[in-house]
Amino acid sequence: MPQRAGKFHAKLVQRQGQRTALTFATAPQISWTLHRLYPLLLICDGILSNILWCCDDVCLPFIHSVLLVLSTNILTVQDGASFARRAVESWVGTMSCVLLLLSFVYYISSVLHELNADEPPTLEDIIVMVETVVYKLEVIRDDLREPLKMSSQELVTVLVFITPVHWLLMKYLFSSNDYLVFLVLFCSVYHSSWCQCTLRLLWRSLYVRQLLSLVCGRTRDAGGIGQAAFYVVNNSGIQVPRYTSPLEDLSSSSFSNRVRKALDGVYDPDLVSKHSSTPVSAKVVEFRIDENQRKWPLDGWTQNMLPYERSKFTASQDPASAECSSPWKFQESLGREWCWLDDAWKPEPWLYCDTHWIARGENDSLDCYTRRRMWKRRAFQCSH
Amino acid sequence: MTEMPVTRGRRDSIIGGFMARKYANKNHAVPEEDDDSTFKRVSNRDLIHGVASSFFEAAYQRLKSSKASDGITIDEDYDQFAQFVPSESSDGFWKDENFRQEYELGSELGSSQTSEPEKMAEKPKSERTRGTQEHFIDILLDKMISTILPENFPEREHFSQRLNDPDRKRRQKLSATILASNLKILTTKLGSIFELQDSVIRLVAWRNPSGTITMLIMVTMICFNPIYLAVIPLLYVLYGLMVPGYMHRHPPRRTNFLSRKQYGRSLIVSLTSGGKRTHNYLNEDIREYDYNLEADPQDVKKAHNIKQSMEFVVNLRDLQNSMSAMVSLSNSIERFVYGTAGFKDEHRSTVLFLAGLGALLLSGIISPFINWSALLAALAWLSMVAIHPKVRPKLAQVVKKEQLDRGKEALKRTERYDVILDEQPEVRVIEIFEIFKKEALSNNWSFVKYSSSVFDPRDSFRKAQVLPPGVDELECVCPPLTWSFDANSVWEIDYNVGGWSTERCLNLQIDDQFLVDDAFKRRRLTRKVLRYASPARKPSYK
Repeated sequence: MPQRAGKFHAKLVQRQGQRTALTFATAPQISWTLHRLYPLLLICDGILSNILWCCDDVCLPFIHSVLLVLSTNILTVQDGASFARRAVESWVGTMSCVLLLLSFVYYISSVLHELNADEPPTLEDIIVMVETVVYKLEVIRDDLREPLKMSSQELVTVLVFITPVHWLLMKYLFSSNDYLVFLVLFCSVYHSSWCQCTLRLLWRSLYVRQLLSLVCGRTRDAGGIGQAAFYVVNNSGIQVPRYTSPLEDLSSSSFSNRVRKALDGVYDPDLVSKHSSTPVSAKVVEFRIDENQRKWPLDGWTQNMLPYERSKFTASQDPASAECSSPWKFQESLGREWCWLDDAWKPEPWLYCDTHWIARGENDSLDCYTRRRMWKRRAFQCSH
Repeated sequence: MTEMPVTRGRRDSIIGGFMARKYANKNHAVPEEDDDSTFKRVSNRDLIHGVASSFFEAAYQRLKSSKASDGITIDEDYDQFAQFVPSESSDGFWKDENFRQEYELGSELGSSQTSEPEKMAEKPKSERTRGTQEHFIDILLDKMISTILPENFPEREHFSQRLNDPDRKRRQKLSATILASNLKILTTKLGSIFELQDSVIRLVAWRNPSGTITMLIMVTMICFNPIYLAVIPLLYVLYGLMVPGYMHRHPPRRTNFLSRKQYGRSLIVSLTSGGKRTHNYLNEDIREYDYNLEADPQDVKKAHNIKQSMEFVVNLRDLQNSMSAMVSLSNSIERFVYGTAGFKDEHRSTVLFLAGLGALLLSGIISPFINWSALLAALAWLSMVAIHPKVRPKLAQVVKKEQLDRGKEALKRTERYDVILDEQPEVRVIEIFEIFKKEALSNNWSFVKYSSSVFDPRDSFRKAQVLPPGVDELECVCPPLTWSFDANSVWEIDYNVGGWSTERCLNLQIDDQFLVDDAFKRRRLTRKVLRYASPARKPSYK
């Protein structure tokens, strides 16, 4: 037990195998409906197991897929092939199609027959079966989630990109028959854990990710967006008094000091009374630039990013995370109309994110693969 | 336990008897591990390993002590053991007349020709040194070695060459401990191989029908596109080894809910099932619903240990069985190589050769017109269907036994009358010397013996003052082994005495048909012998 080991280890939460008796807690109508539903659930479960390749006998889904592939022979027309070959192929195709249908019918009838011969299921059995079916459906949805996450714009890009590739492939490399076979095989294998594992392993490769981002049009934006994305407006038109005699330079430190005071709502009676001043409307903004880093297993946090994702410094306010130079370079490139309100760039603490830059929290943890922090500096611009 | 793989079935009873007797006499001789005080503390697994290693340890000690005490060479050791071996193979196959070699000594010509006094003297001595104070393991070991070592020593040069080969010398020496530890390690690791063997058996017996069909589909694919033969191993490495490893580390969320009963059957399975399947192929990635919430890690460890030791014993048994299977397989291969292919039965071998040649020519001629892929695939499917447990009896009904018998009869007739064995036999001449002795008083000669030896004054038997080996009557002279007399020839006296005496460099007096010296005279008789064929080949260790 845990005490013996010296350290105390907590236990994982387990799903409770036993549940309270449902028989008395359920309305008879619901029980009856569930009971009528049971054969359908069983058949659904069988089909789903076949699609997921998770039945007891993994060879069966394989045989079914082979039969399915052979059945596609009926659909295809091969002009070049000899008559005998075509005859054999369409015979085999028809036979496998018939066998597939027969085995489906046989499966259904055997389920019904065995259910009749067996004692009726308890409510718990039915609930377990419902849960199994729901679980399997969820697994299928999870498998499909990533591909279906594409936006419609990306989908259009993919279609535009893929159509000529398809055309070339079918024209010079594959026959339509091969293509159909490949498609059928891929669809029938897609939900097997082998295929899913293969996809996940493929996803580990940088080149695959790069290719996919290229196909989907998810390339890194090379700036080009107006400076609107770089700041947030704190105050669009604050009235700041200005000395008229001598005409005060708007970029001077005393003026920016006054802007700061005006922002804080500090009233300067001295200024108002002594000098007849004309107020100037100033637009105060805060420039925000994100610094991004990614965690690498061997090097730790570095500024090495994936080629298709955001760069080292990005504009925080831009939804597409446009590239941007470092804050210190950025301030040099800024136009003369902006005057700094703060003395220096101030960083916020690191925000740790998962690999898709979705924030997780302020501490580095196992599921954090990226982090970003925001550099802020306020500036203003006077409108005349 | 561990010694059984080496001994063969017939010997089990002998060893069993030995063990029973020795156990009855010497209770103190049992290995340490069986001691009551330590017994309770050692686990099942340790015990098995301990017994196995102690046996080999004892064997090793015995080998070491025997080396230290008499320092015999391997040849002497071999000689010693060779004499203890009772005539090993009662197997009639190797006792066949056709396997009798020229160098094999017939029992009737016997040991009088080549007597080895040292050897005869050593036998009782060595038996004495072995004495009565033996451990039963020693006897077992002796028995083991005597089964391993061959009966005779046909190719000494070859053997010694192998021993002196520098390459071999650089390798590890024979050591019982290394052997034992290797066996121990191998036994624990062979489980997957035996599992594979079992699964192949299940496949062939249609006890896993969907697996069999999958295999057939793969075979068909290979037939139509042989490059799959290279692809499938790679596929296995990727999806049989690597992906399961990945799945083990990063399990995909695929829980298998245990339901009370599995409803529904597959048409394919129920159509083709050949028997109850005994093994479930559970995917590595399907985690079974964990109902065992209160499992103590200590219990889990214990269960693991028990499972491991069980596996060890099962593996050992499987190893033994596969060894016996290998022995019988090699026996039948030998039977083919040295029997059927070695022209042991000349009729049968000739028919076989001609049939093979015909098939070769035929296939060479018609092969361009055959779609081999389709044929091979169809053959694979047909043969697998034919050995299906449900189809086989029906097939047997169709192919009636009488038909088979008639076919065999026809084959026999073909062998008997369509194959003509009328080659000219090998002809050689044998000689025998008829030796006469001069009587002491008169000048008469009296007959002494028919002998192969000339018995001239330089003869070793003459010097030892013994008569040469021979017989008293001409009828008792037999032809050399594997040869037979030409029935149409008779013993002829060689009148060319000068010829045969000068060939043997004998400068003795010639008297008509006799060659005469001071005490004996002899004449040479010759006769034609025939041999149809030399004895068939035979492996060196038989």
